[in-house]
Amino acid sequence: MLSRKEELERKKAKLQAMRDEKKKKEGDRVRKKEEVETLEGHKDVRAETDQLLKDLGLTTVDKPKPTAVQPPIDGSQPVSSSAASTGSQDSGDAAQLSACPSPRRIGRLGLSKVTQTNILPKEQVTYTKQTQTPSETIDNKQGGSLDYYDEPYVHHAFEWEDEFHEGCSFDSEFSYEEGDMSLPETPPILKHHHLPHVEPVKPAEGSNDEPPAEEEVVPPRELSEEEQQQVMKSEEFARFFERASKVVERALCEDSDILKDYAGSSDNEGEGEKDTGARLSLNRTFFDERWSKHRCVTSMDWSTQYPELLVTSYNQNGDATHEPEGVVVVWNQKFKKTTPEYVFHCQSAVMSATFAKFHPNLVIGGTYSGQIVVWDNRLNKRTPVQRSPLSAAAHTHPVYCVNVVGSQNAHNLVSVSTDGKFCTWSLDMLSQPQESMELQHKQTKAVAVTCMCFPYGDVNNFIVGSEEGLVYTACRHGSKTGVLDMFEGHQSPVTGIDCHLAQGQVDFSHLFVTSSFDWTVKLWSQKDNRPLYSFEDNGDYVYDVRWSPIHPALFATVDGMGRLDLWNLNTDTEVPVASINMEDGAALNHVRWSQSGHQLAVGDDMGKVSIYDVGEQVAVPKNDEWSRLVHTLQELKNNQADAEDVTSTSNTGSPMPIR
Amino acid sequence: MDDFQTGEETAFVVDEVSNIVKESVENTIGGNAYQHNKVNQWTSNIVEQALNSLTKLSKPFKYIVTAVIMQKNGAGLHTASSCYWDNSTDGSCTVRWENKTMYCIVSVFGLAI
Repeated sequence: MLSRKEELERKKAKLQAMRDEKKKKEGDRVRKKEEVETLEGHKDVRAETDQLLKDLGLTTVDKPKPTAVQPPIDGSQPVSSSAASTGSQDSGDAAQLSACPSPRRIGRLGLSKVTQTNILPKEQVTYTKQTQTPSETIDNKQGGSLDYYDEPYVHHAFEWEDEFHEGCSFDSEFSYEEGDMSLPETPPILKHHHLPHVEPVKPAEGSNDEPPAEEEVVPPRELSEEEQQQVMKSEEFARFFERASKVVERALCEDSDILKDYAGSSDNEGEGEKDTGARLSLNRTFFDERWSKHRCVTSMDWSTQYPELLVTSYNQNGDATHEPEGVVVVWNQKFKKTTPEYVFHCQSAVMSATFAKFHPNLVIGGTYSGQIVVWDNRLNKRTPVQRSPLSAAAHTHPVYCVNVVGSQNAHNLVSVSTDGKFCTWSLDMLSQPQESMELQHKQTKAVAVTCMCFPYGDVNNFIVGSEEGLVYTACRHGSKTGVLDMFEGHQSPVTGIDCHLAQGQVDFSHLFVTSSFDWTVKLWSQKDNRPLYSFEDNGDYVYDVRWSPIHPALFATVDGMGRLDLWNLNTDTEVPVASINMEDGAALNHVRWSQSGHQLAVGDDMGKVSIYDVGEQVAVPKNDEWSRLVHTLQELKNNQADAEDVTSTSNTGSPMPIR
Repeated sequence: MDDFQTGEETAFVVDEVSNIVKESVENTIGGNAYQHNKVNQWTSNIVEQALNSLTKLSKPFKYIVTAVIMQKNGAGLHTASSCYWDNSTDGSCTVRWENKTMYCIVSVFGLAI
């Protein structure tokens, strides 16, 4: 035991001694090294600097320069900052010279603001529709003799039972065979071939001069009174007669071949007011004693399939209370006859009417009661074939704007009423709207819409004008449905709004014009909340404004004094380029350009629709109109900015930046 | 040589540069529609023109010009940039230009020498 202790102690002592020795040795070493180092350093440095200086041709300095003590890694690379400060860095030298602080001035560095650029993705709005039908299935007519066709196009939804049976049932209905009872489609050359039996005839493709030979001709039999009455009351007769009378009327009124196109503007019934320079000249007027008298024109629309057809809607006749309140008349401009092509009516005053763009036979009306009604000109009915219900799901306020938007297979009827309700309908089913939406601006106040327009080619975004004088853009589908932007400028209700139509080298689809009760017409761009320009030439309420479909800088306005104006932005922005006054002083309600852009239809509050020809030099755009319009718009913008400048400098005294 | 004289305007003037850039963009692609075989040319052109005009100003600045042309196809684009420099003398300017078929974004950074 003791020996162990002793041993341990001895060992400890030994260890201690060893440690001490080590320490001593290290200390000695370090000290020695330091000494050596310094000595060496000194020597080296001195030698090298002397060398350097000799190289440079400078005198040597005897005083040893103090050097920083290097960590004992490498003694052969002393750093000499003072040497370097004399200037150049010697690349051949092994000595590394430290980087000297830049002689340049360092300004205060700071972080700048983050510059961001964001382009938002275009939203893809998709829809699914389960009732698409390919157009080929309609083409099943091989001239089936019993089929009833008015037009080559038959919409599948209108294939009602009775339509197809009318054609075949007439021989059973008829007790008296009036011979070659041709369908109303066939040319109504009044041939009375009293055949013993009825021959079903194919719908003729305009071959009205086929000799109806073959059958033996039976001498005509005198009809008894009763039989005559029976014949006249029958529906087929009525249809036939209606059709025949139309053609005969045309034939009687024309002094030339009825198949000839109406040409020449000098011949017209009634007023022939010629404007100086023939810029605007009255072509003809449409007026019907029975249907348009004492009624106000509420809207007009040209047909897209048949550019000579114009539908006009009228409101109620104050005088005649037993007459139907809402009347819609289709006028035909092609022929000289003065009677309407079709007359439709309904129980409530029609405030807006339009041809259904993709259904050549349908006329759609929006009424004062909020109903949407549809008429079909293939039937002989004057009353609507379809009506939307009077319910809270649909409209309960007057519908001032109806429009068909979309493409052939995917279109909708869009209607807006003055309570801000925006409904989308399918033409197949008017019993309830497909979609409905309240148009409200931020303050949850409904927008009282008086007019609406869709920019060219756009089915999603549209612009509405309201009774408060504000104009809003809105969106149908997508993430932000409803009202988007507000445009201020008019002080009183906006009566008309139209988006730029004419397509050309430059795209102006962001431009639109508005007219209002405040006697002005304003030009806007969708990009700007303030009007680009205000046209102040009118002296009364301006009721409507329309862009020309072919000329990018031309638009027409009508006002309450009976004045029709044509404005050309490229020519003059202060006064209209052509102006004409109605003789009878009626206030002009609506104006519509024909599709060709050479004619204007103007409706007034006495129920008269006048067609004006626009002179070639005014209506037709030249090649540079688009680029000129770009300049004009730029000028307007500059003028506006200048005007703002002037007002601001006069107010505040400090100039605002000109954008 | 390293100390410059502050005799003239030596801060980065955003408006001036912005106008120069707008001009060069207008001259190159104003009125054109997106054509993918020409876009390369256009971007180079814009950058060169802008840079030439900027150097003509003879200001003691280093310039960096970038141009982006993006076809309008419905896609979104989001960029951001920030710099650590001398805020009093250096600056940047971004110009956005668009027409019906494309966007063009040009950024100019100017650093005082």
